[in-house]
This record gives sequence, structure tokens and C-alpha cells, in this order.
Amino acid sequence: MKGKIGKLKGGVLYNFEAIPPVLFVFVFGVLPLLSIIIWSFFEPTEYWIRPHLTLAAYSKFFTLGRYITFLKTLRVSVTVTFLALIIGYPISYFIRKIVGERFRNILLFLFIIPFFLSYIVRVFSLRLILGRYGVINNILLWIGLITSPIEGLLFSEVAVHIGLLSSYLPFMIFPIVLSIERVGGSTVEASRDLGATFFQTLVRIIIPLTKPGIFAGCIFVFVSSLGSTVEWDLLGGVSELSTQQMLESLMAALKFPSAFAISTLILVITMGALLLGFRYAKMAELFETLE
Amino acid sequence: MEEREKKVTRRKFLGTTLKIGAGMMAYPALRHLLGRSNSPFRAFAGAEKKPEVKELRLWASGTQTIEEHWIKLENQLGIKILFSDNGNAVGPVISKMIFGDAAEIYDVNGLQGGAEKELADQGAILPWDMSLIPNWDNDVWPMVRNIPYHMVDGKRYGIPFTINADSMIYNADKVPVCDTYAYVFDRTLKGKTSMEDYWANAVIFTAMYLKENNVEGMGSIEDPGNLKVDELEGVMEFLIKHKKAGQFRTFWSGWEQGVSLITSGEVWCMTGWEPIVYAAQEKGINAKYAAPKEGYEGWSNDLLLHKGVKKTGLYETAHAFVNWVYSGYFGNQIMKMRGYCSPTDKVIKYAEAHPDEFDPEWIKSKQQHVLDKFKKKKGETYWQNVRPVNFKLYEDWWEKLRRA
Repeated sequence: MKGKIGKLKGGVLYNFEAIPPVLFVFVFGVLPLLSIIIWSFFEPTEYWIRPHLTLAAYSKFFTLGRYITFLKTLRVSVTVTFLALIIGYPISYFIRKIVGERFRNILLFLFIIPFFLSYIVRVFSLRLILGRYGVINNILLWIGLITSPIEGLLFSEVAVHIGLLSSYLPFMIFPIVLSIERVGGSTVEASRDLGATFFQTLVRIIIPLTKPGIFAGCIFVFVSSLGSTVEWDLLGGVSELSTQQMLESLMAALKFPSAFAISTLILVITMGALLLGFRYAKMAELFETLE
Repeated sequence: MEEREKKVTRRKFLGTTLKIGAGMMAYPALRHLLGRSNSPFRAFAGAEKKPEVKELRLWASGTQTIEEHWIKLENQLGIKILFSDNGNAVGPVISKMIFGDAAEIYDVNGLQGGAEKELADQGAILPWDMSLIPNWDNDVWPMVRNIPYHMVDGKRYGIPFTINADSMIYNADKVPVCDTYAYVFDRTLKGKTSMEDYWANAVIFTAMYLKENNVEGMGSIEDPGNLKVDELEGVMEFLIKHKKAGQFRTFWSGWEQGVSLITSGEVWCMTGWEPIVYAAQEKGINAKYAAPKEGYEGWSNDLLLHKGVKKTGLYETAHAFVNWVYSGYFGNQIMKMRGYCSPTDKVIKYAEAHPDEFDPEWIKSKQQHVLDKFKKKKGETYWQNVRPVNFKLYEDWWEKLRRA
């Protein structure tokens, strides 16, 4: 049974207790997603869609330049994920391996606290820090590093990155902390005893063992960033339009097939990333730690 | 003994049945007799007979309800308002009206002005019978009688629930004078001006500015609230040019964002709603509301009659409700609660007749303030239209602007 979590002997249908949840997930989870994919190929009518297969929605995605917004959101999401990993990994290692249990719990709790606050309020508060007369500009002006406030801190792509990072960094930290559980102290010691440097131990022992956590964190941050609107809305400038905002405006304008087509593309990318995670990063092993 | 008891029981049963039957037959006659105003038995009838309460399902913008004060309507006319917030998003509301069952399950709508033609063409709404709304009389302000989108094929489909007129908010410490929309596009204020992140607002303001000042030969724009394809292209190209030049760092959306931009000093001048000025002033900002030479942008939240009222038999009730809205009490209450204006002189008349309920001077000053905004501009008022003929093009252009 160990290492085989989720596998049911004889298949799902022979485990009657599994049927209700599976049915629920299928009807309310899978079916809507399938519908979105199919509807994206339907023809729009004035107020809805009709079953006449066409690629018009996908064609408009390119001809009307919607792909620019899509690629931009994708790029920002990848960058934020990468930055979250760079910042989050050392923090996770510090929390799990360096500090004592009591301090570790305090640190983890500190990362949870922001989630008790309203999401919008949390992002909005960054305006007070990044604004023209915000904390950063005031400090820089005070110490004389600048003579006039930096305009590009707020209402810019930089601000969106900062907002997304501050929102989703804990999503990177928690799975990595969990995966570092898998790295036993004796393994690291053995590596050092055999003469490996810290960097060699990190690259050859620690990172491979924490790969599932790294990938899970990356998926969480990437998918959350891809679906975000508040950070773009409150911190982005006039040119910072996210895919999610574009989707909302398409739905409000009753351009359903176009919205479904973009959602399908997001779905494909997300599913692709998940498959890669399960196939190559053995993401499922993360949950074995829980077992 | 048993036999005797049984006989008595049967007799009792028959007697009781007869008494109940007689009572049931006599009840309507007694009720009628007691209920008559000149009945000598009236004193025995207990409480005065109340009119039958009819429930009217009002589906409107959340800001248009007077909440517990609807009881006044129930007490006066026996109409109980069942209020539901329609979310104020025009697209989804129209979709639910035409594609869904909203036109059947609600009786009256309160929606941003402009959707009348589309809904009427699809048969989702009915024209109002103005003969059933006697309060739509000479007290109703002239400028709201002929709002273009209210009439479809000569019939009235829209009646203003509330109205107001918008212009610009500016920080008078930074921009001492602000009497034209040109300030929004002024290069000396680069990065310090903004507009609402909604084409229905931003486009009309820009079109008004271009038309009234004949900027870039755009003086020929016919109706800034309902642009033709080429007019829209010109207006949007103008906006894109300024956006690319860095004129706007952000567009605002929602009340708190609007207030925050002005109070934080990020923006010195922006198109928007007047209440933002009061909120900013409360926070110590020297904010003012501009009186632009090009005029204010008028907006109306309109009452629409759903097709379902024919089936539910609430056609007359819906008209009675609108007539009551125009009787003055509603206008006072909505002004007191939300600062919105009901466009009829009956509002002030009601306040004057009921000083115990409302402060007549306060109401008069508020109503006059809105009226003055409309009088500021000579000639026609430009009305914000949330569903212009080319609205899908508007959407496409707005998307293009955001990406530019």
C-alpha cells in the first residue's frame, strides 16, 4: 500500500463508497470544463451560442491581439513563479532545517497571518508602500538617494510582480517545507562525510529529494498568478491587463465563445504543467510524506 | 343506554352541522355589512380594512433601494416591494432578461440607461402607459423628458428612477483652475490624470471634449453618448495616443479606488463621481468638483417594465408603483440615503409639506445643485448610454486601448 496512494483495487466502480465523490467531481468539475472546451468551438449568437462548429473564437484570439494579453500574463506568471522559488526555497530550508521547532511554528504562523486579512485590503495596502508618496519613495527621498519620487513603482508591471509575489509566496513555501521533511539529517551528514561541499549536497541530494515540493509550489504559484485579477487591477497601470480581466470583460460583453476559447487555452497549459509535474517531478510523492 | 347516547350524538352532530353551515353562509353578508363605511356596526368591526397587499418584484441596482422605507408604499397603496439587486452589470442583466427568465420572475427593472431599445426589440420589456402615471406631469424636469434612449418607435420604455450629472474631480491645491476636460489630456499633468476604467464613461467624456472644442476636426460628432463607427475610431485613437504618451498611469474602477487615487496624491484630476469629492474633503484634501464649459455628462438609472407583468396581472400595480416614485416621498428618501436625485419638483413640494419627515432647505439645496449642473450647459445634455448602437465595437476598442 505504501507509495500507492489513490489506487483502488479493482477500479473505482467496484468500490461503491468511491462512486458518490467521483460522480460529484465528474458532474460539477469535469463536465463544466468539457463543456467550456466544446462551447469554444460554437458560433456566437446575439446573446448566447449555437452548435455550429467554428474556429472563429480562436482566430479572433490572434487577429484581435488578445494573444498579447495572454502571453503577457503567462510571462508575468512564469517570472513570479521563478522569483517565488528563488526567494521561497531558502526561506523553507531555513524554517525546516535551521531553526528550532518553536521558532519554526512561529515563522509558519507569520506566513499564514496575511490570509486572515481581506485579500483586497492586503493588496491595496501595497499602494501605500509603492505610491508616489508611499513609504519607499519617502525613505529614498529622506536619505537623499532620489530628488523626486519614482513614478514606476506603482501602476506598473513591477508593482504587479511585487503584488503577486507577496500574495502567493506562502504557496511556494508550504509544499517545500513539507518536502524537506523527506531529507533526513543523516542523508545530509553522509553527504558531508563523503566530502561533498554544501553546494554539491544541495544540488545532488537536497534539491532532487525536494523536487515534488518544488513542483507543487511552482504549480500553485503559477496557476494562482495566471488567474489573478486584484493585483493587476489595483497595482497595474493602464497597460497592465491580465487574461482574467480580459475574460471578465468578454463575458460582460456576452462574447462567450471567445471567453471559452481563452479558458480552454489556460486549461491546456495548466493541465500540461500538472502532467509534467506528475510525470517528471513525481509530484504525487509529496503526499506520501503526509502518509 | 348505549342506543340513547348514539341518538343524542347524531342529533348533536346534525345540529352542529346546520349551525356551521348557516354561519358560513351568513359570514360574507356580515363582513360586508360591518365593512361598509356607513354601517352602524362598524364600531364592532375592529381594525380598519386594509387594502389587499400586492407584491411587486423590483430588480434594480443595489443603490436604488430605500430599504425599510418601502413600507410607506405598502401602507399607502398596498404594494409590497420585494427588492433584488441586479448587480448593475448591464451585459449580464440583458442576457438574463432575454436568454434567461428574469423578464418573467421580476416585474420592474432599475437599470443604467441605454438598454431600452435592445430589450424592447427582443420583447423583454413593455412600453409604459403614461396615462397611468399622472405624476409624470409638468413637475418632471424638462431635460429628462426627452432622453434619447428612453423612447423606442415613439413609445416610452424608460422612465428615470434617479439621475445625476458627472464631471471631474480635482485637487485644487495642485490644479487651481479646472474648467474644461482639456485638463485630463493636459501634458503638463502627464501621469497625474485618470478616467474611469469603463468605456461608457471614458468615451463620452472624451467625445464631449473633442466635440465641444472641435479638437482634431471632431466637432462634427453628433451624439457623444452614441458614437458612429468613424466617430468612435477618432475618439479612441485620440485616447490611445494620449495613453501611449504616458498621460494616464492608471484608470480607476470602484468607489474606494476613486477616492484613494485623489487622497493619496497619485492623481490630481480625473473624471468621476461627485461623492468622491466629499470623501476626499473629509480626509483633508482640497478636492473640488469641476464645472466644465463642455457641460456635465448626464446619467439616468431607468425603470423598465418587464413583459411578465401581463401574465402576473401586475401591469397596473407596476404603473402605480412608478406613479408613487414620482410623488415626492421616494425622491426625498433616496436623496437623504444615497444622494441620488429624483427629477421632479414634487420632491421639494413633499419636503415642504412634510418638514417633520425631511429638512426642506437641505433637500432644496441638493435638488437645485443637480438641476444647476444640467443648466450649466446651453442646449442639449449629453447622456451616458450603456448600450450604444455600436457597443460591441466600443468593447473591442476599449480592449485595444488597454493593450496599447
